[in-house]
Amino acid sequence: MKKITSLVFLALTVMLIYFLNSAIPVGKSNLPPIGKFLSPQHGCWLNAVDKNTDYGKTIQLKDLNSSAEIYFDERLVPHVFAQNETDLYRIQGYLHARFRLWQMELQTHAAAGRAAEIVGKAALQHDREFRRLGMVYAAENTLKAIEADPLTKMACDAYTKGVNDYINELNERTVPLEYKMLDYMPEEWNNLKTALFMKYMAFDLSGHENDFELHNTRQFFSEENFNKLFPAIQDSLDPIIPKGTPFAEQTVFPEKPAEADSVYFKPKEFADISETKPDRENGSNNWAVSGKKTKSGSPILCSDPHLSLNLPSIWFEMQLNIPGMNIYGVSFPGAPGILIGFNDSCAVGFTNGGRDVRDYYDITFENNSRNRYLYNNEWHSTSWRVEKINVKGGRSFIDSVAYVALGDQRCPVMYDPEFDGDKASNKKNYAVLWSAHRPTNELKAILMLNRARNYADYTEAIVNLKNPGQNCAFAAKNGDIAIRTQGDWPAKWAGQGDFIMPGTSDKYLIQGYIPQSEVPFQYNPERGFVSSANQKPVDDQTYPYYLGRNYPLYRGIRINKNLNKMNGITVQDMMNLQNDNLNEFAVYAMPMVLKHLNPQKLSTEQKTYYELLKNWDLKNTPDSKGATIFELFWDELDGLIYNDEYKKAPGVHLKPYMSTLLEALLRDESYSFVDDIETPGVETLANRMNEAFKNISDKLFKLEKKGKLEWGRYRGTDIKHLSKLEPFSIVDLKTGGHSNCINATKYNHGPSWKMIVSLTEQTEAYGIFPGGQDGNPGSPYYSNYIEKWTKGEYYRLWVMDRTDTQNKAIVWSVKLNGDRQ
Amino acid sequence: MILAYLGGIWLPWWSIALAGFAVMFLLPEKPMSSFLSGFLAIFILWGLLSLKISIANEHLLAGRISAVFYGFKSPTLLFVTTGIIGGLVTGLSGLTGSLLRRSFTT
Repeated sequence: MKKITSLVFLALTVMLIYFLNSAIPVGKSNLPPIGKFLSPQHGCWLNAVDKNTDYGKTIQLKDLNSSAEIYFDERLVPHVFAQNETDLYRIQGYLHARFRLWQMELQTHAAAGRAAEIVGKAALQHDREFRRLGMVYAAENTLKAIEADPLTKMACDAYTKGVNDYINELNERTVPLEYKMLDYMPEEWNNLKTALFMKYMAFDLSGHENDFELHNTRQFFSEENFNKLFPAIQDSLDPIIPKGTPFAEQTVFPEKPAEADSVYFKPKEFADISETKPDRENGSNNWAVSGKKTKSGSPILCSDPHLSLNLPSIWFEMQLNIPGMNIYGVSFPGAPGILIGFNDSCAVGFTNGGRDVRDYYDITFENNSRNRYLYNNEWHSTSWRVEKINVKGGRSFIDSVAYVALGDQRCPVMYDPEFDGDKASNKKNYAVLWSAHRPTNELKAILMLNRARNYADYTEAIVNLKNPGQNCAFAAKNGDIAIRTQGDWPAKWAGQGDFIMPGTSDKYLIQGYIPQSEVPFQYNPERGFVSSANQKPVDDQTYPYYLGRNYPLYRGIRINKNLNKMNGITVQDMMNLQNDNLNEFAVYAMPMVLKHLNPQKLSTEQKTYYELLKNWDLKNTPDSKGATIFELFWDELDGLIYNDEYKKAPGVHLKPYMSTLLEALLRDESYSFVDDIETPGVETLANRMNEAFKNISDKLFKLEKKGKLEWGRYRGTDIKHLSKLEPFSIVDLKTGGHSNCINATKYNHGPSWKMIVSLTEQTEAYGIFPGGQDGNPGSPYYSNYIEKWTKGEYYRLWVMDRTDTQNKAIVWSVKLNGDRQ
Repeated sequence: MILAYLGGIWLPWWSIALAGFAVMFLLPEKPMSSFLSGFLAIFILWGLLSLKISIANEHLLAGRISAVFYGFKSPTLLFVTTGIIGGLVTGLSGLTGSLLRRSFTT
């Protein structure tokens, strides 16, 4: 009897241990294995970083080619001094992994369509979509280009080695916190993962076309109305390359197919496809002012890329030094080199080019087997790529993706009757032709830029950047400034690629890329500055190639207005400009709004809101109530004006961009969409504006009661951990800014790095990103920059001198031995 | 307690169960008190170890993890939970050890 009792308890003990050692499903997610997770000698407690940690002592890297030193300053920015490039990139890989491994692996898993391996079935749809978009295919092509080039091959090999040096140090007790929570272990890094990371950026920055939406919207509206909703011309455009600048002679002449007007521009079938899109607001500001306009007489370069704001931050700050190269700036954990930064001679900043480089072609297959497709009057054999998606806690999913050759490019048939982004009524086959599928080597541009000493080096480096295309601003200590609207841009005829194109012949293919000799640029322009803010790169009334319809207008206008009139510019002036909250859209809109709003017809309560709006200083400052009222008002007005016409539109459609309505009304207040087509009478703009204002007053009252009428409370900013876990996130930041302000801060998006570099003899540089260096939520350096970032403040960036080893700014350091010497 | 601590350095987390089992198999304790002493030993060991780590961390991590678990920040509750989880495992294994010894000795 006693034996049985004791065996029962033995079984109970074993069961308890088993239970506490397994991930327990709770709702949609899993609790970590609770015993292992809470053990102070194994679990999460080991990720609670001691505030007295000596970070130098935590670096175990060995066997370098030569000796090297790493110095950490008080913000945990590593200043790396190596003797050669191989050691340098190996150390960079090691440090990225040391502080950001989980994020690096998660992002490359997501890029590769492998998220379901970590989070289970919930990510299957994402994984299928990314695989069908050809993300891995694209990364494999880029990897070939990376490995064919000695510089990028060396850098990636060394970087991969460094990442793996760190991964090999890890065990179940020392892995980053998130691995313990999700109960898995990191896998080896490789060069393909770096290529995947580059493609993740390509997706984020060159994936935002609206072909399906426009295709349907075009069918639903008459040609005349469609052109009013999506005009190709923007009246108030102030392009990156100023109007009147002559272009290089045109050498590629894209020809519109003869039948395009009757076939392509008059689509007859709705496409029921919903795709995942990167944030439309992904954009940026950059500018460089020449010494003529600065107080110091030396150029100043400013750059603030606007991306999704997450924790851990997308950026990792560092200084990389070898004899002959000394670069400081922010890097991407996942890739070698410094993306946005400066060296001893020059500085570089990027904004997104934003042209449409992803197009869809309607493919005709012989039959349901999809083994042969029609192209140029012949049947061609499909090639297949079988995608096996492993799913955590479930069965693997096999997805067979057809690839067809369109011209010289193999393209995945992304959407077919088996996959339509969860719409379930699509019967068509659409292949995607995306310039990111081409074997390009953007890393080469980055690594060469890191070494650039002058304008010639910059140009030679930057032409390697093909996708995602970027407006690259440049400034050098010798006084040069420049900007180049760099990328491999398809040479398109007007309207090409706006809609789904016929894929049964080569007629609708891209007929060539715009040669690099024709890429618009500016070098030391007369006006003494260059700038870009994702607006149209050139005046499209004179530029020979088609540019598409989707470009933000107002940040660019505001930047140029300011830079034009500024002189004797200081670093502080540039900080003020980066943090400028003036809403340029409202500058254009408000006179018209106040002309039409009639306060006499308003209740007492509504009048107070009217007064707030009338007296608004047009700035989206955190405590502005006028900014909130304007935002709600314009949104309501936009709905009143377009919703009646859109009422019966197909589910997948596109509404006009915010600037379209304003531009149309400024041109002609009797814009035909203003009238409500559901009423017999004819509504005027004044009618609609007063209606809109009354409609929002209840909402304003409720917001005010909740204390949320102030812009920074109504909108504010949340910076979320990549897992979306709220306790790991920093939320409810009272921020100003708007996508129509130079300070483009939004709810979960905005200036992900703000940098100002004054290229005086001794470089004076400032920067900040909303996060911290350490990706570990248990570290004091996880989110320590956010408070300062929210206030619009900067850190002075300290560029260390190799011999300055006794500097007080050094808090921790480590000397690494070159055992192979 | 010492055995459990030493085990924790090299062995998986559930080595605390082995320690509890071994000690109670060797010592002539009654089943109930073997459970209690096993529970208490590791409750104190894990509670104190986690507390010590967390103080040096200024409770940054404990604040965040506790908010994930309970929906509100309470490092204290997380130390207690940690202690109870460890205590339960060791208590139960100690009880098993004690019972098994008695089944052999009589």
